[in-house]
Amino acid sequence: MSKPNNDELIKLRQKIDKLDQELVSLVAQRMKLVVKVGLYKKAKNIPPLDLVRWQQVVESRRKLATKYGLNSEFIEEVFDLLHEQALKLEEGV
Amino acid sequence: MSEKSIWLARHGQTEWNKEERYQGRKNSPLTKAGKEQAELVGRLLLDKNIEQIFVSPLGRARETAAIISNILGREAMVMEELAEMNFGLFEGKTKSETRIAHPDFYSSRESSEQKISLAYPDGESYLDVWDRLALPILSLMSREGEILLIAHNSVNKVIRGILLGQELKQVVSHDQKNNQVIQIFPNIGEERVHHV
Repeated sequence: MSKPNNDELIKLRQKIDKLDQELVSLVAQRMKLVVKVGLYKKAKNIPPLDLVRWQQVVESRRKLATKYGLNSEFIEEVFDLLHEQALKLEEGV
Repeated sequence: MSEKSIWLARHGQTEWNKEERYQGRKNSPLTKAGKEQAELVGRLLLDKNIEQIFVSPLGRARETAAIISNILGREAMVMEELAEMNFGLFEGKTKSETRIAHPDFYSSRESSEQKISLAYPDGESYLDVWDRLALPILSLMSREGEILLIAHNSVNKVIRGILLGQELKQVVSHDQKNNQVIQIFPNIGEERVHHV
């Protein structure tokens, strides 16, 4: 494989930067929905942690990871972190 | 170990505060008294181990933050969401002027429910403000250390509601004076008001 020259490297990094911006924006959108879920649960006296739902999320995200050629354990770790933050947000609402 | 708190300050008094004009997204400079209030807030917080300061992007809040930051030796970071509620057509006008120009607005917001959901003409409602502030404020709760927020009367009401876990209708009637600093303990849902 030929080593990319600087121009190619810059372009590739620009694409990564753009995707990262979308990624962070998507995480923020996801967390905004989590806050709404937290409000709903608070109003209905439902506890933040729902293990059944969480197992379903993990299973489906692992499958998605495989579909996109990613390591499913890595994606599970990413979602563990998202879930940890989501629970903090829901508990804080 | 002491309970973590988030400190909520309002900008010092401005020229428009003195004239009782709606400010919102428009700006008015601090008065001499406003600058003194900021200095007193800085001194009050000097031994409170403030680790992070976030400030609204609006001039009066940044002017206040510059004075406080100088005393505390910590730089304030601008948080866009801390900008004051958008009062739309009311901005720059006095309360008596808006009462004459928009009588329907006032008669439509008599109950606390209406007060939180009705947007100012071409502006925001308290619910709109809650929507933009909930995520950044809840996210602050999981940060380590004491945090100071320097913002505005209306957004601070919403922040109090979020941090204390109270409904908006419980907090929208409580004005924060320019010389008050509210210390909120989000984990136990309590607050302490300091006067400078």
